[in-house]
Amino acid sequence: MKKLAYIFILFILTTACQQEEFDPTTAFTKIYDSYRGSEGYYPIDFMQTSTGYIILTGQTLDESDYLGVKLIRVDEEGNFLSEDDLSADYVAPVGDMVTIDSVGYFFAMDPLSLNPVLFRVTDEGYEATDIAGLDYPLAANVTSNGNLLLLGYDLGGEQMTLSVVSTDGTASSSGYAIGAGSDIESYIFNHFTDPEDGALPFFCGEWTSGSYYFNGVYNYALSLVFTQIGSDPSGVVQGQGFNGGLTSIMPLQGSEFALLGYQFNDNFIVPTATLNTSGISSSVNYLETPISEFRSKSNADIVKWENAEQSYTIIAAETESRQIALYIYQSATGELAGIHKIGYINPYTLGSIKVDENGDVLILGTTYLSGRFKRVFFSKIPASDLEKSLN
Amino acid sequence: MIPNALSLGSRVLAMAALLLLTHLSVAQRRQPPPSPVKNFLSTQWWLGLRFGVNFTQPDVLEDYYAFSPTNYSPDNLEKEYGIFNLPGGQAGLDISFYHKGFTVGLQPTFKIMRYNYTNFMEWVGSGEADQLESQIDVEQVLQVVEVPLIFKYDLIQRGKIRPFALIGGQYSMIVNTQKKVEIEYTDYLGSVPQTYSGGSFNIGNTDRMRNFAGVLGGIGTSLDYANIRTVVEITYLYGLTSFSSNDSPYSENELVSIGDVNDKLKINNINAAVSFIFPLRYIDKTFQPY
Repeated sequence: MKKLAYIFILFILTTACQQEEFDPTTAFTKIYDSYRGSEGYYPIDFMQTSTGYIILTGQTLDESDYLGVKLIRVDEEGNFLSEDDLSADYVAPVGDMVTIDSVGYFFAMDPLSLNPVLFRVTDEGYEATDIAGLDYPLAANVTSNGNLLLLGYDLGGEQMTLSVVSTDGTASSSGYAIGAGSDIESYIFNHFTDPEDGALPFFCGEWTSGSYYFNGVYNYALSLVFTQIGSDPSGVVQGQGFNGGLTSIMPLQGSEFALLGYQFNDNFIVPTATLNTSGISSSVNYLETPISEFRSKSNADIVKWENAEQSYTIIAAETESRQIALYIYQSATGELAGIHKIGYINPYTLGSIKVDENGDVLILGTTYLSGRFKRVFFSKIPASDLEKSLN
Repeated sequence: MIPNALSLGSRVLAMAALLLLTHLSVAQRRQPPPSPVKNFLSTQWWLGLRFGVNFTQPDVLEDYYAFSPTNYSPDNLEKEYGIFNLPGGQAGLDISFYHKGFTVGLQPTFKIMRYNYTNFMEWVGSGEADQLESQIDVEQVLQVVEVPLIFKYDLIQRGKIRPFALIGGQYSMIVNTQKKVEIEYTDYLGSVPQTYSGGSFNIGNTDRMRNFAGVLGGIGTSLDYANIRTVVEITYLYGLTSFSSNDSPYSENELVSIGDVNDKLKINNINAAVSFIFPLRYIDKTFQPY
C-alpha cells in the first residue's frame, strides 16, 4: 500500500510539472473586430514579414462608392498590432499582394486621376508611387524576374492593359481591345463599386518565362488571354459573355493548369486541364462536372501544397452554406485527396489563401459577426491539420 | 475537633494515596482478552460504493480571445465565470485499508462536473439605430474518471460515530466533454429593444481537453448503524494542473466565429459524498458487532 501511495504521489508531481506551454504561432484563427457596426471589410490579400503579417483589405466608405484601402498589421500569432487607413487618398485596392526581396507590393487607385498607385510595404511603413498613363487597376501578380504584372482597364481606349511594372514604378504595357460591344463600363464600374454582387474575377500571371496570361474582357467576354507584352494574344479561352468563364487558375507545368470556372450559376473544378494557349477555345469546353457545393459565382483561389510524399493542388472556394471549402487534389493524378472546411455558425467568405515555407496554410477572408458585421478573419492551419483531411 | 480542621496539605496527600491504591489494584488485575469487536475494527479492509454531488470553480490561468479588437480593449472580451454554481454528480468505488486510526483509500469515481461563463459584446453604429448586443452563455460539462488516493485519520476511534480528517491527491482522466452554447441578441433598431435567440449549440470538445491532477483535503464522519458503515464526507479538490489541451487554443474551432475560445483553466471542486462500505475480512459467528 505504501508503495502504491509513493507511486501515486510521484505520478501527481510528474503531472504537475508537465509541459504546459504551446506555441501560439503554429495555429490560429483571429477575427479583427471593431465596435463600430457600420464598418465593413473586403480583405484582399496578405504578406508575411519578419515579425508577422500585413493584411490588405478594402473597406466600405461613407464618402465614396469605391472601397477604401486599409493595411492591418498583426504579429506572428495573428494578434492585431496597428492599422494604416489610406482611404483618404487611395481607393480600390487590388490583389495579389506580392513579396519581392522581403518587400510587399500591391496596387490601389487614385480616386481623382484613376491612375494605379504602386505601394511598397514593409514593417516600418509604406510608400506610394503614382503610375501615370494607366487607369483602373484590376489585378496584379509577380513575374519571375522580380517585376510586377498589372492588369488594368483603359476607359478611353476601351481596352484591357497588361503591364510589367518594375518595383520603382516604371511600366511597359500592352493594350488589348475589349471587342465589339457596348456598356462594358457598367461592368467595370460595378466591379469597383458593388464588390458583393458585381465583382468580376480579374486576374493575371506568368505561366512560362516572359509569357503571361490575364483574365479580362476580350472578344467582349470574360476571357483568359495568353500573351507577351507587346504582342497580340497567342491563345484565348473565351468565356460566355459575363455568364461563364474562369474564376481562378494556377499554372502546373507547360500549358497544364488547375482551374475553377463558372457557367451561369454552376462552378466547375478541373485539377489538371491542358488549355489551348495558342488558339481560341471556349471555357465551357474545359468545364465538365459541376461542384454543387459551391455558391454561384464564388470567389476562388488555388495554391500548391506539398507534404513529404507528394504535391497537391488546393482549390478554395465558398460553399452554399457560406463556409470556405478547400478541395485538395493530387497534383500528379488530379485525384481528389481530401476536403477541409472552414467556418461555422456565421457566414464566411474567401479573400486569399497562401502556403508558407513550412507548408502551413494561411487563409484570409471575412466572417459576419452576429450574422451581420463584416469583419476580417485570418487563419493559420498547420500542415499537420491538413494532413488529417487527406484520405 | 471537626474534620475540616485538616490542613490542605493533608487532604491532598490523602487523595493521592487513594488514587495510587486504586491504580495498583487495577494493575494487579489480569488483562482481559482483547475484544473481538476491537480486533475486528483495528485493522480492516473496506469496500463499498460512493455517491455524491460536486460544485466547480474554474480558475483562469490565462485569458484567450478569438477576437482581436482594433478599437477597443481586449479586457471587454473577458469571460464572466460562474463559481460553484452548477451541481455535478459522481459515483464510484470506495476501497480503503484501516489500521489503528489511519486509513489509506482509493476512490475511483466517474464524475460529471459543470461550470459556465458568459461572453457579452456590443456593436454601436453611428446613431443608435444599429446598436446590437449579443450575450453568449456557455455551459461546459466535463465527464472524467477521477482516481483520488486519500489518507484519513479518525479523530475519534471508538463508538459508532467516528469523525475524521483526510488529505490526498487526485488524477482525473477526461472521458468526454461538451459545450452547450446559447446565443441571445438584443437589437436596438426600433424604439423597443428586440431580444431574440441566435440559436443554441451542443458541441463536443473533448479534443480541447487533457487529463489533470490536484490535491484534496476534507472532513467527514463514519456512521456505524444498520449493519453497514456509512461514510459522509466533504472534500475540496484543488487543481494543480490545467485541463486545457496543449494544442493551440486559437486553432480553428466551431465556435470561433462567435468569439468563443477556451481560456487556460484549472479546476477547483467541492465534493459532498456518501459511501456505504463493508468490511472485507472474514467475520465469524462469534462476531456480532451490531
